[in-house]
Amino acid sequence: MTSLLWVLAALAGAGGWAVLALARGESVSAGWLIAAAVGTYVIAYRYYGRFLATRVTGLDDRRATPAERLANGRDFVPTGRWVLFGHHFAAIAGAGPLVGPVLAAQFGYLPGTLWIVFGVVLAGAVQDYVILFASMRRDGKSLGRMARDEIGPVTGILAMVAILAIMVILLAVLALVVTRSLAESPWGVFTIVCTIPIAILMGFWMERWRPGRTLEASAIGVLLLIAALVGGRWVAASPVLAPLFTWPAKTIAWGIIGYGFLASVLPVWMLLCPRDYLSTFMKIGTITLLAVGLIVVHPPLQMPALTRFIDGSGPVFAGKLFPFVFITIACGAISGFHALIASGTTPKMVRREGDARLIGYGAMLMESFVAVMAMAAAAALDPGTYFAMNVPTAALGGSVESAAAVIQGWGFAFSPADFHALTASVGEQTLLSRTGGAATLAVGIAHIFSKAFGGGLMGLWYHFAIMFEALFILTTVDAGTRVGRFMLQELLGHVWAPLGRTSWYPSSVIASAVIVAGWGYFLVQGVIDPNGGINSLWPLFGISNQLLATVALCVGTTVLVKAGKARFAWVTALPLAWLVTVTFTASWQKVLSPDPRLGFLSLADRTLAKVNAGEMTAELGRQVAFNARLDALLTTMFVAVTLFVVVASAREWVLVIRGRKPARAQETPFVETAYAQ
Amino acid sequence: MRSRLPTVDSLSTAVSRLSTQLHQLASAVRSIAGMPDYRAYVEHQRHCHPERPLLGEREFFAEYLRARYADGPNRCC
Repeated sequence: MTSLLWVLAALAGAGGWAVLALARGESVSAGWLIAAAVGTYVIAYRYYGRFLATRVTGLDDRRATPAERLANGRDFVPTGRWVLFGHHFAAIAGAGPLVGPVLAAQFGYLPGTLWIVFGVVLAGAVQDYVILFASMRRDGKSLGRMARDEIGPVTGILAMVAILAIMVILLAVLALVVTRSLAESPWGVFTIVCTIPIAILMGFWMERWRPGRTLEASAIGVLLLIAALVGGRWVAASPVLAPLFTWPAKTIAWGIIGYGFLASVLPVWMLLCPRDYLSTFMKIGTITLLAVGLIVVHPPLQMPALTRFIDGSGPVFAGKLFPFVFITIACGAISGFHALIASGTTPKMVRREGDARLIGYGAMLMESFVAVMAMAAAAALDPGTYFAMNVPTAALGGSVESAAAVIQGWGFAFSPADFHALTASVGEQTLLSRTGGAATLAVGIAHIFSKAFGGGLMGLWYHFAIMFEALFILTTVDAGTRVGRFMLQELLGHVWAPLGRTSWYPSSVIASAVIVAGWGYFLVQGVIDPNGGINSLWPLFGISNQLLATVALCVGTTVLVKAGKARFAWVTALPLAWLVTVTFTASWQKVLSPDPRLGFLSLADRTLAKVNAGEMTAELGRQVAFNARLDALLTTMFVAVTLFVVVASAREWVLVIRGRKPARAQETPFVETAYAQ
Repeated sequence: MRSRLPTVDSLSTAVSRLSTQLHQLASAVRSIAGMPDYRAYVEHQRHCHPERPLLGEREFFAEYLRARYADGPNRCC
């Protein structure tokens, strides 16, 4: 019976890929995309996942896990495998797998989908699993600690600095995505502003009135949130209230900056934690709904499998298919950030070693599935709408009519009347050039949900999707700021001890301000950037995330080599080689390409030339040029750090394999489990 | 003739079983969101460290919340 299910899964996968491969010219149903993806995941989990678990890492259910040995009822807690799967999935899946595929849809749906599905199976899920395994065998040590212990002390410190820098970029780009989707949208702004008092109410409920009653508070929170969503329509229609909540992008950016600072210095129970719960439940609920909706509606994919923009002339972001599809889609295929989660809370909760395959490998397959759904939702829109929403103002001009001329010039059908109707149906003033992917995804989700569940409530579903995205992106921004603050305090503590005391208020305020200023700077620059900001920030984020994955795969390979498993080290070494190729090529092009759309340095030169020619104001021009050079500098630094880690790791591998250094991993010694077998 | 009606005892067992199941479900949902279970903590302390003072429910959550965001990234992109 079970083997029959495996065969069915294999057939579904093969059938899905066959339809996608053979379709020429006619539109394909999103159902085939999903069948191909799910079939591949099932087979990969069954065979490759098992190979990793048993042959490569040798999971041993007789070995007590840290959760059992160090149980303390708080962070070291043996947790059931499905609950921990949910916990880990909720921690790793954020906006990344939703936004990246939407942007990469400019190449057509096929390249992105292939990378999401095969990338996760051979690279992303392998990374998450191996790091989870390594941390679980080392009492739940963090990636930075493992880098220090297994490779060397300099690598450890470099890894920490790199993690901090990458977080700053990540927070900036995510905040920019929210800013773009809320600008000039009273409905969206009202709903998101309401989440603050709702969270504070939940915070007091859980902390003061009924301690620990998370579920009660969350249920109240969700109800109030829906009320705010419905109320938003009324606010947007009111001539008195609507102008109060109609904010330009710059105001929203400053609002997010101020809010991020407050959330970092206020006690967590008041604002951060309740929003975290609210966003977790919303996230799991909405993703489940989206899966159901996509299966019920299985809309036809209107985007072609490949577009002409694979040649590098794409208007959403610059660069050819190789390497930029692999940079644009990080989360969903492979995301270095996951290595921080897989070496954070999760390894301290694994009950039995054997569960690690489901949690490490399986949860990442699930995230990949989220990315495939995002791709399907974006590709189900007609290409004209997609490009009108995702191409920056600089290329489209400010009006639907000017956009129509540009988009029709690319050979895509586009009707201004239909676009105006769509804009009105979702209750917005404008949908033009809402770069960043969030608004596009919201339109895609609204189409699917209004067909599957609620006849014609486009506006409500659109704003529901915007709220869902903004809520958990802002939660990531708050939590990330706070975590960044602690990491900075730890680093500063080496310079002057009192700065390292996280409970010392001045130190907390200073460190929070530094972190907020860091991402706030990039956010504001992204907002004033005439090319929409996403254009330069998203590739920077993709590159840094993939470089972090490179570091994680170095640690993973070193762990395998030192455990005497050098013959299996290719499972992490091959994805590592691929990522080094992709990220180094992309970094080279982003820094040095003579095309000013692509290369940071040539963009700086071109902008200054424009200032000299009087085509741009000196103030804006200098700022744009300065930022482009700053981006170039950051990219170069990331690459240098990663190169150091790769070389230091390779040196260790050679030493161990040649027998000059003992093959000894720093694992915690074996202790037999007390659980019944 | 014995009554077919459920006895008070069997009813109360059923109720307590249902309440345990509900508690387990709630605890699972909470763990997914990353919140620990106070009862599990109390059980653990009674069993393993009976000599140590037990944190009250409020202090337990306060201490947990303090640690939650201090311990490295716990949310991803």
